[in-house]
Amino acid sequence: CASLPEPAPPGDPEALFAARRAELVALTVWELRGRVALRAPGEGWQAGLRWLHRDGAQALDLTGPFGGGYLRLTEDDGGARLTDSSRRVYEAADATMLLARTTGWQVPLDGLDHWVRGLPLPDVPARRELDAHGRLKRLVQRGWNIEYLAYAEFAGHELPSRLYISRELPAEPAAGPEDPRLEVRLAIQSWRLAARDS
Amino acid sequence: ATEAPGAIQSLNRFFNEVKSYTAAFHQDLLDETGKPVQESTGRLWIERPNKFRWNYDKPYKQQIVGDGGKIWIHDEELQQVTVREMGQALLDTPAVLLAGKGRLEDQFTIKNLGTQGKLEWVQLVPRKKESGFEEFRIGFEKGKIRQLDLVDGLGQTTRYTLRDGMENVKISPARFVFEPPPGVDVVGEP
Repeated sequence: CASLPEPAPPGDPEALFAARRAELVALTVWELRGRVALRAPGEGWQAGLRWLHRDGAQALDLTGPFGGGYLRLTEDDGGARLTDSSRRVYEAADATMLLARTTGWQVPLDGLDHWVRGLPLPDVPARRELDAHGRLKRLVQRGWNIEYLAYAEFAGHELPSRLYISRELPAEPAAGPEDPRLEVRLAIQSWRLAARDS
Repeated sequence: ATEAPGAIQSLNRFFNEVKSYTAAFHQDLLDETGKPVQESTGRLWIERPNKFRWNYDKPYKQQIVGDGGKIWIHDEELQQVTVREMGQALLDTPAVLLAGKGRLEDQFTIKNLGTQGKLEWVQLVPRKKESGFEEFRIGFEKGKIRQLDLVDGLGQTTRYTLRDGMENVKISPARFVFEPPPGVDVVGEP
């Protein structure tokens, strides 16, 4: 017999996306726990990830396979600080620059803190694709390509649980040290969100 | 009842007489306040020297394999295999600790913590600080390894509780070989 018609999407995706965006933007205090895999030409890392984001401050922990602390990156309005597992401390004006300088990974944390929640950066040009439920399926912004592979529900909010992020490449990427290819894969196990430091 | 052997005695027995070992594990990650924030379960196999396999089954599938020379980490959801030399820095990870050979005193300062609950505890503090671990605590029940607490430099504790442990069992060598699944890219670390 004919298969059941797919249930009509619960409304116009654009409207759903606008509502979702308004709801999530208000939750400025959040914490995620999961795993991250980074890949650049000839190099790759995997780590446990914990990212705590509050009003005006954030802390990002990357841990080794058995929990051994790899590094902790913190940032507040006073600047950014990175501590590695040998207790060496590095500082810079902001977290993205500090991460790049100490590890070589050019990961745009100021974009990622929106993309990871399924939000584009506000007031920045973007190309995007929504799914039937008004959730981001794909986003291209600031030279990065973000694919939302899975969503899950966390305490009443639907949030990304698997993402694939890669740098948009120029026509022919220059091989060798300037080779810009960088891929970040994220698997998120838990989200906690709150309106503000409750 | 016979007096349970002291923790140091159990530690030395485990390292000198237990050549191979397998057990089911339950892992809890405790944050700096001691609150459990993540848990996972799986099975581990070890064989001295430096051969081990930790298969995580729930809530995600990951394999960490030491083949005696390299450590392979495969995360199925992230579809990546990372391989690195079992270099000096890694000697202090728990996997290599459990599967290691040679004198523990060279790498750790060891202290008997006595009895807590049903377990006899020993503390191992890595002499080198690069490993990212502050200390390991191992708990023995009637001389058998039962719990492993790893405190890292961020104040978090990774706690392994072991069940159905079997000592000196025949383990197939294939268990300590990692075959990258087809289609998954293998990436080396500098």
